[in-house]
Amino acid sequence: MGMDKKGVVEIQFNWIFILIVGAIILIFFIGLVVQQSKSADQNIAASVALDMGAIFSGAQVSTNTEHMVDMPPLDLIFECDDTTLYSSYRVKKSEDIEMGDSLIVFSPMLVSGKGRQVVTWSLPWNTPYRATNFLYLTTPSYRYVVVRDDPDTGKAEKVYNDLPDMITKSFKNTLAEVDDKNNRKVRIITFSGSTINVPPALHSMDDKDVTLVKIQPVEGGVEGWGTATFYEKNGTMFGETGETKYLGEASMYGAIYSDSINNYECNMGKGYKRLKLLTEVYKERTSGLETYYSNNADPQNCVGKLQTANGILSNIISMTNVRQAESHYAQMVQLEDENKNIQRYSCPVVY
Amino acid sequence: MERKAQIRMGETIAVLIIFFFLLIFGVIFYTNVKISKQYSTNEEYFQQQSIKISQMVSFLPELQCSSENIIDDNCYDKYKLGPASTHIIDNANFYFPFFSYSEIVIDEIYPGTDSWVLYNHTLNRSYPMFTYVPISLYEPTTKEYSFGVLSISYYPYYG
Repeated sequence: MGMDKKGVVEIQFNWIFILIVGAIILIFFIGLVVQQSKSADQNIAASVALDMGAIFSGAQVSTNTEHMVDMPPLDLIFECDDTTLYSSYRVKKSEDIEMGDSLIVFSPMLVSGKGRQVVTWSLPWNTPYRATNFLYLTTPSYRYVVVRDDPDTGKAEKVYNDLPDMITKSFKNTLAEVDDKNNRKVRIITFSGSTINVPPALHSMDDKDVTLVKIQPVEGGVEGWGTATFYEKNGTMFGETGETKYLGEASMYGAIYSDSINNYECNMGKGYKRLKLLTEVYKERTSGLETYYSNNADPQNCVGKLQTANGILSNIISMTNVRQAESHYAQMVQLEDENKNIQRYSCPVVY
Repeated sequence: MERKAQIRMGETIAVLIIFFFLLIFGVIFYTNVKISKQYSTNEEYFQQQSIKISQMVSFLPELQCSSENIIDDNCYDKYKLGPASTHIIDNANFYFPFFSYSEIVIDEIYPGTDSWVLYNHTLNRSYPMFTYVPISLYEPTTKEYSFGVLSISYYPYYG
């Protein structure tokens, strides 16, 4: 009997022992799985951040280049606050990754990862000297439709041909002709038209997935300055979300790639910040050259010419946003002329 | 009976000790492999960063030689270097995404011996990686070129 009691205690102890050890092993492996899962998420976010870093630094050192980059199937969300000019992007649920003032990226606010690829393109922003490179980013799952509408000029053809071949793009003669090709988002680019109706083929698409930008050059064609009016689908009509300006071709493509006027103006604000810093260097360099010619022989009157150029540079420094495109363009043209004049007299050019 | 139970219990404990020993050994091995892989990834990344900085410097319009907006590759305008170094140092926050923790110096080697510190934001607790790039320096008033070296000391940030 005493023996049986001992056996019962022993069996019970064994079971308790197995339960405790089993629980410890189970907790250990659950912990390992949770840790690995967290680490996998961090790795994906870090790998995307690394890819994006490579894209961004590549864009800063090379112009007029386009690339298709493979990405994990994650959505990229780009944000830019037009009051503080703080811009960032985030991947999935990761924290915001700040892009800094020096990096200017025009893209839709949401770059869907479903396409598993992003198309990048970089262009120099010439004001008239290269202030910085603009980076454009989109995905092949979004379609860009250039609508001619205006048969007199070759604006639409030029924009269509200049847009990277790697993006999904199409060309139509009228807005009504725009068809539905089952793209995730559609961005329409027009150059005229006052009443803007949504093409019938796109009526079934979500309002937020169909946007339009109307580019109207005022001076110097698409390479000069003009207005850019942003629209968003609202049922069967396009509703205006705001009107702004562009300065130069690179800026116009910024308006095409940005699906929000705030993001566009914010990035242009960063562009102007960059331009101010650079122009200050150009201005000091020109003053240095003026001093040199004031103290040395100056048969070609370089001092006078450099002083004129310096005045124009001061005016460019005072520009702070793209809404001043008209007066900025006037300064650009003057500086271009003055630079040519300076070169004609064999003085050191401003840029 | 009691001894048998004790032996069985001893066996169970021995099996568990061996099991946990193997498990701990496996975890330590896995962690070491991970750390060494991370270390080599970091090294590669830092080397890339150092080269990237030298490219960034070469493409800064604040420093480049240009005529009618046509850029002269690997050439730095001497009349831009002075103002640019002041501006870059004064606006270090703006240039930090370009240059991170580094020191960037341009030295004229021949015929002059001028030197310009363009950026200086170093870290005390890491060893620098050096990159040297031969460059030409342009004097716009005489339209003459001289020979120089762009030196980049990049300080990796390990977090």
